[in-house]
Amino acid sequence: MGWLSGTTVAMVLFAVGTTVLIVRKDLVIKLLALGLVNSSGILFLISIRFQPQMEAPILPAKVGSAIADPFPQALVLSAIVINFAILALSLVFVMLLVERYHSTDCERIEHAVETEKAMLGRRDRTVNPSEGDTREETR
Amino acid sequence: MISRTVLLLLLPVIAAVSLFQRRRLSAVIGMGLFSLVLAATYLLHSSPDVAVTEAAIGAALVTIIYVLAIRRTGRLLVVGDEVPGLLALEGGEFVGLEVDILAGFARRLGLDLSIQIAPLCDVETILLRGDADLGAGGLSAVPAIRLHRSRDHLPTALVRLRPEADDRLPPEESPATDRCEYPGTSPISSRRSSAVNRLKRRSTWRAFSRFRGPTSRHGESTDSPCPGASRSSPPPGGRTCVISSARTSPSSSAAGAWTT
Amino acid sequence: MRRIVRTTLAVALSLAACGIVIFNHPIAEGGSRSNDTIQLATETGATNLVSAIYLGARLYDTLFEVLVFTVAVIGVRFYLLRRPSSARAAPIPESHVLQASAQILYPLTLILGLYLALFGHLSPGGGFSGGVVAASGLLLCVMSIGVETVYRRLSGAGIERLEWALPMVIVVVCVLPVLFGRPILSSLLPVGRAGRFFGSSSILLLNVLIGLKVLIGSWMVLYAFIRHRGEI
Repeated sequence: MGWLSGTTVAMVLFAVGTTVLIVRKDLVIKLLALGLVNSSGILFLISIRFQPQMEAPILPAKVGSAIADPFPQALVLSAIVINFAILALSLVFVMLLVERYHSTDCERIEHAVETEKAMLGRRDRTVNPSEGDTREETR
Repeated sequence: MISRTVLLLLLPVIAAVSLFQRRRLSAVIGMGLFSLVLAATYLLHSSPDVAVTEAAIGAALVTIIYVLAIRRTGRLLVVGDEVPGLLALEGGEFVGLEVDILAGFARRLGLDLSIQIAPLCDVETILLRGDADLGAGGLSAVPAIRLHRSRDHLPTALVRLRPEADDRLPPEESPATDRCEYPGTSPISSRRSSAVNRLKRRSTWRAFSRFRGPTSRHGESTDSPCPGASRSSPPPGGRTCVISSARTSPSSSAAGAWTT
Repeated sequence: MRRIVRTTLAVALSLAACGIVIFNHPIAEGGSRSNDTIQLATETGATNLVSAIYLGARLYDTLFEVLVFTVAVIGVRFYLLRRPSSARAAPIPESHVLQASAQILYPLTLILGLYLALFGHLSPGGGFSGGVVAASGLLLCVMSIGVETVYRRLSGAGIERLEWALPMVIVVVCVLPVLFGRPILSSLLPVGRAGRFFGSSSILLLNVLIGLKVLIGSWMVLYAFIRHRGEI
């Protein structure tokens, strides 16, 4: 099964992740899918330089066997930890949104934001009728 | 070789299944499982550093912050006395009209609902002490000014309970029950006799005909003394709470009389 | 109808992205360059080649990654800890099994994190893994003792000060060789024989510092989440 390697599976995971990111409407599921896309990228980078019967890049290695390339692993290692930190930050924003609009549905939140913006706009126009034209120009 | 193939085949399956779940918690746990399998895959692709990091982050930290983010923040503590039809304990679960209202309210706030049963006169002290958030259970007369009162959600009617002359309630076996003592009324003891059963069947207990019947636990009184209402003057507006009925001696026929 | 259109569009785009990568990525060639790897090990004194790379040859990238981590932690703390804590929300009690098993497991996990960070230059692990495992050990500690107790003890020991001191110390360790006439981002400590504990140039020191930084950052994030959302 030559076609089943880490690279192809990483691409399939990327496809799954982006599909879920677009299709599902729940914000938390979208974040999970984004994390899946991250992991698929990392799997891809690691499995590019992999061949069967390779050893880990820790040096008392078996004589005569190839050692896996340590370079992509080094790049990817800190990326995983940073993904966690960025995920925590985006979860904070999701939590604040959910607290404000009482829903994790992205369409409902967008609708509520647009309603709020429309109400604010209407209030501005009624408060300053004389400046109504200039305000619309600058906007 | 085989294990690597198996794990690689397992990865998209786990990811797809867990991300198309209906519940958010199932999706989060599924992605935690996906991280574990991914860590094993990294190990079989001869990158042990990445495997250890992915296992620790994906399975432990990411899962915990997702679980913290999607949980309900704390509990909404409701304290109240049992009222059949509004707030009653049936088969270990709370059922009733007020339970439904409170459940929707808690869901709107993002809290878990937790109901405690307490005697009516303790509800006020518990609320003022801060041990609970809401008082429920057919409350109409809120004695303390410091407590906020919601809009009345259900108009009730006053009932008249008139004991017959030959109905005799048993003497109270345990004077110190867990019921509150109020001047002018004395509570029914917790052991009911057939006399009280007859009382209930004969009385015009119209208010309760709109709800489900009284609870199946016939051994306990479902009434509680309402501190605000006295015997002679019913509260205005035609609303009241459920009032406990007569004293033990049959001579006081006016004990249970209220206008309908 | 709109859902079907959106779903097919999503699937088509994802497959297109895959296809572009499939037909354009370079074919992986043979094994490692074994001479280079052995040279890398003897230069830095670390047998874990991954550590030798990201703390030796590519230390500059690691510095900025630590910076990104710090900024993300600052963002989480800013947005979550400026509102009053939900002190009135009672913690939802979990079963005692969880608390009892966390009491047994948390010292083991903390020691495992310490081992991974200390021996990161000799065996798999390193600063990032060690810090993360130690953070999950702290989480187990929170489950067994209670978050306010742990927070009081850690803050009493000055963990907040350590949080802003650590990136400074890391930068100083990296910049200090300039004062001694060596190139920047090299190391002051001597390189011993590869494979010994104290033989690595400054990889051991950097591993410990980065492990501490990741531990404290993850603890800050977890504490902010727990305080905002109620205790486990």
